[in-house]
Parts: sequence; structure tokens; C-alpha cells
Amino acid sequence: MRKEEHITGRQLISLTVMAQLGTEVLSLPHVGATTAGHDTWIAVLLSGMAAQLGIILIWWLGSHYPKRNFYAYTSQIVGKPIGILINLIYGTYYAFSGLLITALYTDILKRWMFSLTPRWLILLMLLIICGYAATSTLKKLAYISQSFMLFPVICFLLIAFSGVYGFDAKNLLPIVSDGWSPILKGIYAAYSAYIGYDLLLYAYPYVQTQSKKKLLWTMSIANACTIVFYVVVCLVCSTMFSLKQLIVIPEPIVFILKNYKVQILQSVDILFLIFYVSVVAATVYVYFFMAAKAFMHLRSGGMGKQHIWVWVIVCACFIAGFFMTKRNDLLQVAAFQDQLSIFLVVGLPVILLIISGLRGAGRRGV
Amino acid sequence: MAKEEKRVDPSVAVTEHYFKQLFADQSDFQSKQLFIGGIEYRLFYFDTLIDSSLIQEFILRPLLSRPQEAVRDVVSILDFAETELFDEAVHAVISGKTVLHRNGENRLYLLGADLKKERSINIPTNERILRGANEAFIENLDTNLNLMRKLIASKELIVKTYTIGKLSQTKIAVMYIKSIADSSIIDKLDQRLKSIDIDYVEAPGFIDELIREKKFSLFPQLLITERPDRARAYLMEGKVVVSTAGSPDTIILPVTFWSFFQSPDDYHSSWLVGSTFRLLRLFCFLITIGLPAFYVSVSSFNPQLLPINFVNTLQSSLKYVTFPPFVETISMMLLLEILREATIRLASPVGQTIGVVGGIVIGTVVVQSNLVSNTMVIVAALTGLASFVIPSYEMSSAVRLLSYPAILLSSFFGLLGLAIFFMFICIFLCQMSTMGVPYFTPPFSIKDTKDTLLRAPVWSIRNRPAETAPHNQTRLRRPRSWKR
Amino acid sequence: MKKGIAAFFLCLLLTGCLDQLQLKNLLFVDVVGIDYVDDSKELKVNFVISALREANLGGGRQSALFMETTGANLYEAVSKTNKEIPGILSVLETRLYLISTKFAKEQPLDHLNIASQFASNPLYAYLAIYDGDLSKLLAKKSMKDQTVANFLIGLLDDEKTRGRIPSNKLLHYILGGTQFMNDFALNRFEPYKDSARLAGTSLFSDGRYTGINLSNEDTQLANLMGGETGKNQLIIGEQNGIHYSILVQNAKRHFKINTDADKLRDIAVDIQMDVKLIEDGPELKKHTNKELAKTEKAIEADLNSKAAKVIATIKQANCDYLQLAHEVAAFHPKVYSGLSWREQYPQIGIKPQVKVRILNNAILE
Repeated sequence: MRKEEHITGRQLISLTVMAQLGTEVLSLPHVGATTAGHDTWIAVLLSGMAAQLGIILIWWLGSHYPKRNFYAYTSQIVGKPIGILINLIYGTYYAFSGLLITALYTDILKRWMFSLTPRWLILLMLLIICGYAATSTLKKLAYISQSFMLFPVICFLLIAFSGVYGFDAKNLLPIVSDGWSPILKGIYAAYSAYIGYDLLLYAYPYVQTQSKKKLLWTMSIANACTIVFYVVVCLVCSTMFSLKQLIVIPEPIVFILKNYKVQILQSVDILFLIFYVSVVAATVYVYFFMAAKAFMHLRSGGMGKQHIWVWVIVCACFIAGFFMTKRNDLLQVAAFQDQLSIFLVVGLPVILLIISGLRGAGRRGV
Repeated sequence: MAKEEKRVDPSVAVTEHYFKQLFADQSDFQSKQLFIGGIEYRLFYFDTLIDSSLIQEFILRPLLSRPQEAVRDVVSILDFAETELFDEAVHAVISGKTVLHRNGENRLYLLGADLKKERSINIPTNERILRGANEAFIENLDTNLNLMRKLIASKELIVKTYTIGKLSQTKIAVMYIKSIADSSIIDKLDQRLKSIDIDYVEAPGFIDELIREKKFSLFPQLLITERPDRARAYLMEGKVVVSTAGSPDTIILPVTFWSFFQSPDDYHSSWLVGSTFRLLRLFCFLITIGLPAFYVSVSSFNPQLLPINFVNTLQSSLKYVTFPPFVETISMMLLLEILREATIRLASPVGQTIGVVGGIVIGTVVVQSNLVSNTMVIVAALTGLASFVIPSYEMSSAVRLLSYPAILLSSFFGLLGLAIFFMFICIFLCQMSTMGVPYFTPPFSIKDTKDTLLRAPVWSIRNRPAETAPHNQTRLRRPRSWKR
Repeated sequence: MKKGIAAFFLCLLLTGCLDQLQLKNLLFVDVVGIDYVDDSKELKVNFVISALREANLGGGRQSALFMETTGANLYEAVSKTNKEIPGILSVLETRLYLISTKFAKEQPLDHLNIASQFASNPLYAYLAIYDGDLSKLLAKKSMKDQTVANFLIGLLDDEKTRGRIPSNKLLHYILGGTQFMNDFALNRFEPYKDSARLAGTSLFSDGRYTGINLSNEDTQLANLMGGETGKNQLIIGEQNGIHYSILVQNAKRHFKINTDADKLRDIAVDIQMDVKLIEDGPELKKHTNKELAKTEKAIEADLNSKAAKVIATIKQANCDYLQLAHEVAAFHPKVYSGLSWREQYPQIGIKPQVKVRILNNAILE
């Protein structure tokens, strides 16, 4: 197995932020509006806080095994066969998530622009580019994410400044009008948008920071960036659209960017939608990378080579992609994936933490 | 098994026989017989390689005046060596030395009286700048080393020579600053240079391809320069300079992507101006790769990007053009390449004429005959100009080539194709490394942008780049301390 | 790996280019006009297609092509037009949707909702109403030496930057509208000599044209009450027999909702204007503080009465142009839930309170 190079705290931030931002941003205000109404932004904010708890959880788990990555210590916690099973589950989960995100984005592209180009072709192109990126080491991956980071920054500025085209803060009022239960539902709906911080599971031992606390701090900064991004997006969308419109329009941000009209450039939305591929890819290649690493850790000495695993995953995803054509099916699968990811990113680490705590306590007792 | 080395026989006749046999077919090989003070001498040389006046002045005249003393003490030539082995003597004769044998001695004297044919140091022809030194390297390695030694008068400048090329025996000099350069890079380079086993080397092309990391990368991984001041600047960053006999181009390695956008001019002008030009070059990099592809996407996929007045203008210019935008673009880009190649090959006055003829005549006629739209002519011209803004010729050619796949992808997927292509380049660059140093590091902090994206003021660049000079980082101490 | 890439490119060559649009074949619809065919429910759709002719060698002249079709909805009209003219009709660059009064009186927005389904259609096109024969207007080759499209859109653009008319973008109204109540005022064109001109706004209540219009002056005032900032709007009026004209430099609007417990008492519309006094009365005179205060008072009184008239008009149309419902719902949700806004709106007391501050007298003292 290739030895993983160390990454800096800054690189971890960009990796995490880019992994968190995905296709969800496009539809978050829409999804939020259907559940939490005009209090979407509160739900998204609280959801980010919840994600922060999730980060602390993973960090805590990782700090028990500061020298090894998640896949390497699973078998140490629960024993060999179950550990391997867990790695297998994670590998499949990440490959599946990567496929789902690619498929969702392909769906958006198909609906907006490429009505005639075959779906598989776009999917294949996206999968290949993500697979190509996923063959690199963690450090190289961080470089790629850092370069792609430019795009979300521009997006953020464009979205935030679209407020100059007139917004109506009254759309946000009154706050919490229907009680907290829709907001709670909104928190659940928005949580999947924050998934991606689980990269820390693997990256923990490879981050060069002065202390454990600094690492948590770094992750928190990354999460805070994502929260700010999401909350601003939701605020802008809620103030610029009425609730009725938000419920009908699945990608409100795109409509907001149509506002920008310069003498030489008009549809910024199309540019946005297309160049958004870099943000989507940044999520997907991290997932493919995590999946490949999970499969490599099926044997403690390392099984197979990373790039072979990645291309195997890409092929599998491509074939599976043929079965995902109807939008409603896709959304159903996405809903299932949301549940699965909450289980795998929050539930399972909790269980592992408890087990390792018990074992640790037992060992100390002896 | 090592070949048995033939030792020199005391008899001149034997030596003469040996050489005559070896160089039987060489009509310029001469063996001169002399009797001085009753002792028989033989001079062996290639008359095309030696300077006969030097031999008269510093070898024959001293020998004639003091025939009894030892040759070592008499001959007043600095380049003086002795050998007892024929092989060494043969090698020396081939490389232009004169071999002297005194009868009765079992050794040969190798005297450097070779004819030095070299051109004088000229101003750089390929890397013009406005301010700063105007010296360029030449084909002679010694002169080049001389230039470098004069620029860096320090014992820290190490010059290591290698001989590469089984037949050509080309001398290669590797230069670095001992206290700055990373020894692991030197070791890697040493290992790679030693592994080269080839008949002859064409520098810098062969060396580049034989030691580079990624075999199929279009991007140059070595910086080639003919300017000693540029070489010095990189040496001071801990990089290694490789100079080859017979070529005025020296290789600098390991370099990063950003080095190809640096020009010595940047450091001679105000840092704001320098930074602006640096950004301009990067922008031109993007234009060269993306503009033709953008034109194709807009005119065949995403016209809605432009407001209606603009689209109407574009549309009307395309109205009577028969070719689809893809063919139109590819043909204009090819035309540009043809013009460029033609102007390089032709003698310079004719080259300029061709440029004018190509640029104006073809441009106008092609539009008037509705073969290509006038917008495309603008795009092609802009792309061509932008590509020549990049200071490194290797980089600018690579970038121009890259625009073709971009055009192809755009003609299939419009802007999405272009976006994917840019991502591909970005990933490719991030994955690449030269001599273990990452090739492309995105400037993510102010520290990283100091000499990459921007040309920060000299007083603010206190450190050398960490990748190539990991141990000795400080390059500037107490900047502008007179002010305090 | 390399073979794989080669195969991939081969696939591309075989399948790509499917979504290609030939720019030279596209017909860019600049203005869409929508009307009903006589008395039936069928749509009569007019397209004005803009192009630049004879510009391949530089120069060129603007041209507009007029097409008229009928259809059950916009999509059908587009597909019918495609059979009548070679080329691909494209709504990628539409800048104006013009609807007739007849069409506006029924549910115009329901028909326009479909426009958001046109892939990547610029939804920020203007929406305006034309009180006359639409096809006759749009069929004109040129108006005042400009194409119809440039003429109409130019009018809207310029008046909007001057802050005299509301900005009516299609997206603000379709799919349920960005506003709380779907009440709004659309800019209105009317026939004038052999071309057209802007003639105030038409009031819509619940997405339907009420038949009541505001004049140009009223529109400007309504626009200021709607929260428009000062953009040098010119207000001309008469008070006590003296004509005055002012330029609005700054305008700040504030709603004051007065409630009794959970009951809405009345709403005050506060407008603070900083103005530039261009003229008051025929003779030029030096303004003392006292005189200025008097002039301010006089102008305020005039503006207040004018604003009251505007409010009366919009109340009569039952058009909540100022979106007061939203204001009440946002800040007094309890009050709002006790109200049946549609019915009670005309009875709510809405008082305009204009405050004028004369900053200067322009260039002259």
C-alpha cells in the first residue's frame, strides 16, 4: 500500500467544504421550503450545529486511534470479521453515494440543457473525471479541491450579491410561525447536505496540526464555512421568492442567477449550472476515494491497488447508472440514501465509540 | 570483463604504428616526426582540431631551445597531462589534444593545443526582456560555466560534470548551490543522469524526455532558458541547472507550473506592474485554452449566454458561413499554426512578410469570401497573440495544442465539455510532480501567491520556496532595516 | 487505459453533438405578444423575431420579423410557428412579454406559467400590457426609426432607471408570484399616433386585470409609495395657484400599522422625500428659511392629496399594490389571521403622510 502523505489544516478545510457542498445546495431552499416553510434558514442553521456534533463525535473516535485511519481500526474495535464487514459496508455506501450524486446532477443537466444527449454519456463523462481524480493520494486530492475551491467562492459572492436586485425580508417573517415541528423535519432534510465531513474518518491520522484540539478547530471552521454558505443561500432564496414559487421550483438558485445581466453576458445561471460540475465532482471523487480506501482495507496488508479499485467502482457505478432514469425513482433512492448516511455517519460511529470505550475501560480495569 | 589495457611502449615506432593502424581511414590524422638534440620525437594530432600556432609557440620552440630537460618542465602549455595507456591517448587525440612521444619514455604527453572555435557571447534571441542583463549562454560549456561562476562568486556553487553519449561523449554540467539545494533532488537527478545510456544527446530535448517524470505530459516539466541571470535566480531558489556542451539552452529543474509565467522583467519593474503582467499572462493562458472552445460552445450550444444584441451580431456574421463553427475554428487555428511555423522556418525578413501576408490578406479574404466569420478571425487572432504572451516557448506551444481537445469537447457538449476539460487539466496538473516536488500547487494563502500568482515586493519575499529549499529558507534578512 | 480513452472518444464521436443548435438557424424571439382570438379561449400569439441583416462584412441593419399564430397554449403556438418559417424558434433571448387587456382580464398568469418550462428561458423578461390591437403594433416594421422590440424595451428600460415605473419582470408574477398577495400593477402601453407610448399602469387584483388604470403621474407616486428610492424623479404640481416642480433626491418609505389589541385600526404610509426645488412660481426669488418651510408645507399638502387619490384608486380596484397584507402578516400575524383581507382591504384606512425636505434649489440660488 502506498503511504499516505500528510496534509495541512488548510487543505483539510478545503477538502471538507468541497465534500460537503454537493447537489444539495441547488435544491436545499426548495426542500427546506416544502418542510420548514420560510424558516428554512433556521432549520439549515440548526442542522449545521447538529453536523458540528457529528464532527465532534468522529473526532473523538479518531482521537482514540491517532495513528491509524478508520478502516484500519474498525477490526481493532470489533474484531476481524465484523470489522471487514463494516469496511465493506462503508465502501459500498460511498460508491453508492458517489453514483447517486452524479446521477442527480446528470438529471439536472438533462432537464436543463441536454435533452437529446444520452444520459449514460453525461454520466460516463462525469464518472470518468471523478474516477480520474480519485486515483490520487489524499494530498493530491486536497490540491485538486483547493483549486476547485475558487468556484464556490465565486458562486457564493454571486448569490450573496444578487440581493441588490431587490429582496423582501418580510418573506422571512414571522419567525417560527407554525411551531418547531416543521423546523425539526427541516433539520432532518437539511442534514444530508452536511454529509461529507465524514472524510475525517479516514483523514484523521494524516492531518498535520499542532494538536488534537487544533484539528477539531480546523474541522469546525470548515463546517462553519458550509453553514454560512447554506444559510446565505437559503436566506437569499427565501427573500427573493415566495413560498409558493419555492415549492414549485426545484433549483431556485439557478433562477436567482438569471438576475445578473451585463452588457456582454446574460445567463449567468447556465454558466453556474455547468461549472457547478466542479463542486459536484469534488464531492464525488472524495466519495470514490473513500470507497476505494475502504475496499483496500478489506485485508490488513492492503488488498489491490487504489486506482484499480477506483476504476472498478466507476464501472460498477456506470452500469448501475442505467437503472436510474426516472426522476421520482432517483428522489426515492436519494431519500433512502439520506437515512443510510445518517446511520453510517452518525449511528455507526456512536456504536463503535461506545464499544471502544467499553473495551478501553475494560482494559484499564485489568 | 574489463579489457586489458594496452600500455605505452618506449619505442616511438610502435606508438606510430598503433596510431596509424587505428586511424588508417582518417585523412586528417597526422603524425609528425622530429629530431631534436638527437632524440626522436613524435607528434600525433588531427590537423582539423589543433591550433598549429599554439604548437609552434608553446611546444616546439621550448623543446628546440632546451632539448635536454624533461618534457614536463619545458612545455609551457597549461593543459598538460601524462598517460601510460593508449586508450587515454586515443581519446585525447579525438577530443583535439596533441599527443607527444619522446623516444625511450614509456609515457605519452597529452597537450591541449586544441583549436577553440566559438562564437562570442550574444544577446538572448528567444527570451527578450527590457531591463536587466543581456548575456546569453552559448554552445561552449566552458564559457557557460564561466558565465555562471562570474555571476555567483561563491564556493557554494557546485559544478558537477557528467559525460553522456556513448559515441558523442557530450559533457554535461550540473550546477547547484550546496547550502540551499535539497540533496534528495540532487541524488535523484544524479541517478537519472547516470542511467542514460545513449549514443548521443541532443540537448535539451533528449535529456528532458529521458529524465522527466510523466512520460506523456504535454506540459513542460523542465524550464529551458538561455539567460544566465535567470539560471542564477533559480539556483538561488534551490533549483538545479543543467548545462550541456553544444547547446546554449540550459535546463532548470525541478520547476513548478508557476515558473513558466515568470519573466525576469517582472523583477525589474515595480511589483504592482509585475503582478499585473503576471496575472495577464495567466489570463492569457486561460484565453488560449478556452477562447476558441468558448466560441464553439456559444455559437453551437449556449447562445443564451450573450444578450440579444450581441447574439444578433454574432448570428449575422455566421449567416452565410457554410462551415459549422467546429470546422471553422479548427481550420482557423490550424492556419494560425501554419503561419507560426512558416515564420520560424523562413529567414527573418521574409518571415515578417509572411506574417503580414498571412495575417492581413488571408484574414480579410477569408471573411469576404464567407468561408469563416469575422468573429472567428478575431477569436483566432486573440488566441494566437495570447499564446505568445506566455514567456516559455514550451508552455505556450503546449497550451496552444491543448486548445484543440477543448474545441473538440465543446463541439460535443458545449460549455459542459469546456468545464470538464478545464477540470481534467486541473486534476492532471495537481497529480503531476517533478523530482518529487508537486508541479501545481493552488495558491491558497497569501504566502503561496507571493511569487506565483503575483510578484510580491522583494522585501516581502523573505523565504525561498519550501519545496526546493526545505532546509535553508531565509533569503532576505532584515529587509529595509535602515528605516527603523 | 489508453485504449479505454480512445474508445471513449469514439463513443463521443458517435453520439455527441445531439444537443447542438446551429446559431445561424436560430430565430430569436424578442417580444412575445399574447391575446385571445376574438371571443374564443384560443390564444393568439405574436412573435417579433430580431435579427441583424447584412452584417457579415461589418455594418448591418436591425430587422424585425413578425409572426402570428394561434394555439391552446404557448408551446403549441411555438410549434405551429415552426411550420410556418424555416429555422428554429428560440425563446432564449426574449426580453418582453406583452399581453392584451382582453387576455389580462382572464387568468393571464396561468398561461404564462408555461413560459418557465422553456428550458433556460430568460424569465427576467418584462411583462407589460398593451391597450390596443397587439398584432397591429407588433407587425410594424419600425417605430421612430427603431425596431418595435428595441422601441418598447428601450422605453421600459429608460423609465425604470428613472424610477418612474415599477419593474415588472415575468418571474415575479408566474408560479404563484414572489409577492404575498398576487396584486400588482403592470406597465401599460397605449397606441399613440402611429406608434405607442407608456401610459401609466394597469392594476391587477389576484392576478387578474381589474380594468382600472393609474395615470403616469399616479404611477410615479404609487411607485414611490411602493418603496422606490430617489432617482431624480420629477414631480410637477400646483398648490395655491403656484406651479412647482421638484426632483426627488432621496425617498424613504415606511409603513406604520396602528392596531387596537388584535384589531387593525389603520395604516399610515410615511414617505420622507429629500427634493431639489426646480421652480415654484414664475419669478425667481431668494428663499428664506420661512419661505422654504412654507413651500415645503404647500408641496406636502399637494402630494398628500394626490397620494390619497392614488390609494383610493388602488383600493377601488381591490389591488393591494403596496403589499400591505404582507406587512401586516409579517409583523402582526395575529391581526392578520383575524382579517379577511380581500373583503376588508377597501375599508382599511390607509393614510399617506408625505414629508418633504428641500435640500437645494438646483443650480440657481
